[in-house]
Amino acid sequence: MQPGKLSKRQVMGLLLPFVLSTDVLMIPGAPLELARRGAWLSSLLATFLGVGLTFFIVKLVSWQPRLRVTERFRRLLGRGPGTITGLVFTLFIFFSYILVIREGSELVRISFLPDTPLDVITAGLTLVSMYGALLGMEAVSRFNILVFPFFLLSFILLFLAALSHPEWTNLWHPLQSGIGCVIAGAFAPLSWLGELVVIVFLIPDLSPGEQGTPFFLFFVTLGAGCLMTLNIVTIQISLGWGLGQFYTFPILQVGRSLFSRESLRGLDVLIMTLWVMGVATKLSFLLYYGLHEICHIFRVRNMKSLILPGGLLFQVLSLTSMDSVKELEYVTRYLAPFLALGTYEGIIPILLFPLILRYLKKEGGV
Amino acid sequence: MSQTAPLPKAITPSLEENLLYLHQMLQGCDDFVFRPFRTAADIPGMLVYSILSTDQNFLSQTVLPALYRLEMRPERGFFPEAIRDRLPFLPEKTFTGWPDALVALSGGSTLILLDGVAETFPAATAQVEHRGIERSETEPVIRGPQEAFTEALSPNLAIIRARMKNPDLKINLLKLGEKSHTDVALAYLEGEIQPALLAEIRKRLSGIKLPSVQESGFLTEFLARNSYTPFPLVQSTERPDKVIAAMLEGRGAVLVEGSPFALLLPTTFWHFFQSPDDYFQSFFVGTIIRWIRYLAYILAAALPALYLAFTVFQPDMLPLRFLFSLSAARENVPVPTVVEILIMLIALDIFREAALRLPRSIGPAIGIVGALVLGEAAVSAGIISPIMVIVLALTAISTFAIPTEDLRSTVRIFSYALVLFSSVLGLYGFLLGASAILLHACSLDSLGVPYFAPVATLHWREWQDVFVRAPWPVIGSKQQKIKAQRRGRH
Amino acid sequence: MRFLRGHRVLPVILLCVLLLIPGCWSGHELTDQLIVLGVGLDKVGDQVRLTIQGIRPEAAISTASSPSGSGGSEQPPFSLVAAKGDSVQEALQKITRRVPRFIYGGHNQVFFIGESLAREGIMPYLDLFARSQWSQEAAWVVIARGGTGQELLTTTNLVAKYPSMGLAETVRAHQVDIPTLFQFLLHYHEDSGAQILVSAAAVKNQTAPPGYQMEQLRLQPNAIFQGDKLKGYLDDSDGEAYAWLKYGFQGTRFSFPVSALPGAPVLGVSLSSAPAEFRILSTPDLGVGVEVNCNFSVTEDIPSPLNSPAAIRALENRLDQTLSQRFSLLFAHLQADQADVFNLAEKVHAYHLALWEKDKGRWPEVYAQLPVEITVNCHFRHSGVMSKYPGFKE
Repeated sequence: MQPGKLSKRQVMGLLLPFVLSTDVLMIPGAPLELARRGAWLSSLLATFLGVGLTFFIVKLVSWQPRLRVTERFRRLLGRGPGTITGLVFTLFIFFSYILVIREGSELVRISFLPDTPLDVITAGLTLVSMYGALLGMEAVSRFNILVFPFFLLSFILLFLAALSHPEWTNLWHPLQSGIGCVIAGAFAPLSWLGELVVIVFLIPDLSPGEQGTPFFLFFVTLGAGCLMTLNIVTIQISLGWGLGQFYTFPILQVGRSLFSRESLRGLDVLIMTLWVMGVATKLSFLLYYGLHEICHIFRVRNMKSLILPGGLLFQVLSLTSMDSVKELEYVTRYLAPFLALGTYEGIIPILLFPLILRYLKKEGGV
Repeated sequence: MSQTAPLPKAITPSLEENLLYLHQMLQGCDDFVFRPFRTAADIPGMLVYSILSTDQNFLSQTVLPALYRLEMRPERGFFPEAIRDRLPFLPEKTFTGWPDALVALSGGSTLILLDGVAETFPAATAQVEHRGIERSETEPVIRGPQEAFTEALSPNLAIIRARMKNPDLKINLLKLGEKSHTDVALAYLEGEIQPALLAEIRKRLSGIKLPSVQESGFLTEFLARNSYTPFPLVQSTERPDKVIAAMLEGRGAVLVEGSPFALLLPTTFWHFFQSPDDYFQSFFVGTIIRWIRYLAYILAAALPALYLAFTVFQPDMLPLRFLFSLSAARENVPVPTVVEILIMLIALDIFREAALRLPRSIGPAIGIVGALVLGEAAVSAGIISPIMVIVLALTAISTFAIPTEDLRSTVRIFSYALVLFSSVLGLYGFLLGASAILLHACSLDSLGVPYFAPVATLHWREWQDVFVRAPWPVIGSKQQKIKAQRRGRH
Repeated sequence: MRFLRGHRVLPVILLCVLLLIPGCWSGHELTDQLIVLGVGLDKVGDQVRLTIQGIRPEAAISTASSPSGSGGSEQPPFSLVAAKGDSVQEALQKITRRVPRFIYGGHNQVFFIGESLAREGIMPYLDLFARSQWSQEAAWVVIARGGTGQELLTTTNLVAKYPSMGLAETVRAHQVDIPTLFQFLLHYHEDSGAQILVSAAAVKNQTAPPGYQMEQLRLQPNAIFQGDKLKGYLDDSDGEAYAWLKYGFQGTRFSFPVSALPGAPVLGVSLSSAPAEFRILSTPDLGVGVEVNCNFSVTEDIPSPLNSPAAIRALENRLDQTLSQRFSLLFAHLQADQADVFNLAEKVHAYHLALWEKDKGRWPEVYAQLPVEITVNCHFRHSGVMSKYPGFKE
């Protein structure tokens, strides 16, 4: 794809479900387990911290928006360290890819295809994401625009359905188990909100007129944070933390128990499959930019030739690196967040901030 | 002159040499007639024409008398121009080279050769029998104009011209087909069409290398530059009002001699759902009907696959009593649902194809025999469940609710593909398949305009003609235009 | 095949082929399924007995078209399969081996739970169903009062062919509320942990003439649960009062004597209201305020013509008193049993955190001592199409 071909709205449309599709499935379990009644406060806290992180990310990408990731770090840090940082970012992209494939597939397998081998389900997702990566970001972003409204609608629908028998008192006294718990519960949602950092991969493809200072990223963070909070509130008012923490995919359970009347059966399945489509967009996104950057670093000319081996490799990794859904739960809730926040989502952009300021000052001087 | 001598490219002043050459070229073409004459100034000349495609009345009553009265001699200077002034039926252009002259001759013109003139005058005497303008068969409407294009190019262009009395309506003529030399017209409205788009259409048209162009369908893949997609990337229509509407949107129309179908481009997915009826009826009716068509398209593509996914993989999505009926209907059916669906889909397509090829008088009869008798017999024999007949009938009827044949013929491919996906992974497989199809469609473009524009490209302002049929005062005030969202590559 | 090389078509074909190579795993043809409509769970000795009421739908429809006469000699339209095992899973495994069909539980309507099992604790036995991929959360949990779940699955009558579907019809027709598995789990995890489930018993309608005495399920919301264990039953009157408070009056017909005198004439009313509102009072001590606002219409008023505002007000007051008495009795019994079935604990927790933190450990005792203040406000709305008793003559 030629750079500069995505409009601002399309990028917003891409990033919102990108952040949300994983944030709503397994992640709510973490604040529910840690912060209990304060899960929604954890989520709000994560949103505010996420806005803070977004500030650094905006700074990072608004400097020389036409630069690709590795190029950017090479200019900032020098050739060697820059390449390594770029590689770290790329590897994290693949790490997310592996986690997300597994998460989406487990959702499908647990909730409605229990007899189907997991590898077939992951293969389906991987193939679609490979196809998306092959067609390029332009096609994926258009596809996303067509799917996104339904994705968004499912949130609203679930929330409205939860309003039929809401237990608002479940939200009261969020600090009952202590502020520490609320903060601890905020990490997992924050880290998946912080995935917004992938904008550094995407920014060169944003159309030049809109690259300036991408303030819309704040809007994306806020929007995603609010929807995530809405999602947790939906879980809390319909399940309470007591029951909510038992489920691997709590929101799935909300859908199940709310839509199980004779006339409105099985809407949960529809909603889940819609989310699988959202996940497919995200996977295409990750695979495309990850491979793109690998090609850039190792000077591979033909990125498309890497899609098949790359996709297969990551699919196999997603199957073999985690044994059970419990392990996946542990990784996505408690391991990946700290790993990600400790490096590419949090620490690196923050550390790069003074460097960027220095460059900006220098450019301003010239 | 020996047979092996290189063929002369240019017309010589000597009538004898020219005739010799022509005889050589037209050997075996028994329909060509050589008719000698002498002008009033006693210059020998020759008329060459085909008896098949020439208006001989015109020839004998207008052309020949005028030639007999011709009193000029070549010595008196500017002879060809002077002749043309005397002979009003002659076109502006004369030929000095043979290749063009021969094409004109084959096209029905009469070549006038005069001794001492190194040019030939083509008299426009072409007359080919064509059928008259008839009602549109493939895109009928209840209200609105009924006329359709015919095979002849010039009457078609005349209809367009008559409906758009505006010098901004430009019609460019060109010949395509290395052997057939078919006339092709590119019509557009200057001021509405984007110049870059126009240049691109011209570029693609001139790049077409085909031995012959018999139908506008020959050109679509060249114009779309993408043969490997089941989606139609160029819209074809036989309705003049659609062509006018398209030109007002800033699209170009390509008409081909011998084809009653004009090509409209660029085309988006949504164009195939627009029928002229929408614009002739009230805003509400137009909008609702359009949504029904979208629904019909989705049903036609997805209903068999969804039926399969729901009954075999996700029975918990169906109400209990419905499940009972479905299950009871399937009692005694010996084959799995997927096989049942595939049998019925294939049978359906065979019926459709058979009914199409049969003479019009018995086509519907076969359709009824196929659908009713065979279906009923299959159900009572217990091979097919009645529910399946309902599902497939609904699918087939939905297919016919899609207003354009281009889309109608491709939606079947998707229904097969989705059934296969569903049969393996149920609803999940269905959605994977649908995602792949949708991703593919999103990657398409028609002359640089994304296939799902303006929806997938988020140009809100233009949504008024996609999701609703905006009221006329709204459409009239800001006519929707195809913005050439051109991509870097072409 | 040169035109395929390096082109977009290739991955599409690959994608299709890779997906289509294997067979289908989770799919089952409808006609290969045994649709489970009801599940009975009983304790037999040390083992659990799982009874499944399954329907072959194709057979069900074909018998439905030929109406059976008096029944009896005919085979029931469903089949019961039962197995015993140390766990539900084991019993299910035995059934699966025995039945040549795929046992499909997505449309299970009801769990009938034997009383002995209910007293022991039902959670271990519902675990399997709560985890199931099929959404069985919507299935009702019904306690077989004084009997076994299996018995209830065999009840047939002419009106409803399958007991479990008949149950569904009754529920739909009479707006009875039966807690589902999901609601059971939800209440189990609430602060109070106590709840009332519906109990059922198969009874013959003794007042009907012989030969017409259909076997029916008598549903009553009266099984008191503490956690997942059955503690006891409310009596009929209390069960009724509980349903009124919990779900509101839903066109409930209700008759009461106009005065406390013995032999006083009876007045019939039809009541409707929203569920009662519970309020925690803390001035100065913890207490509960229960407020019921209901509308009623008079359906039978044989003795007293309602022809003056004063008469209406008197009737309203009389109804208020009658209902208050019923509710006070209910609360007295519930408090004696220490069963906080209205989940007042949650209210205390939400509105008076400090008090809750203090009394959390000994909530049942606190609950038993809680003063209850019941306010009933009945409002007369209409008296049917006639404004007075038709026999009334001045």
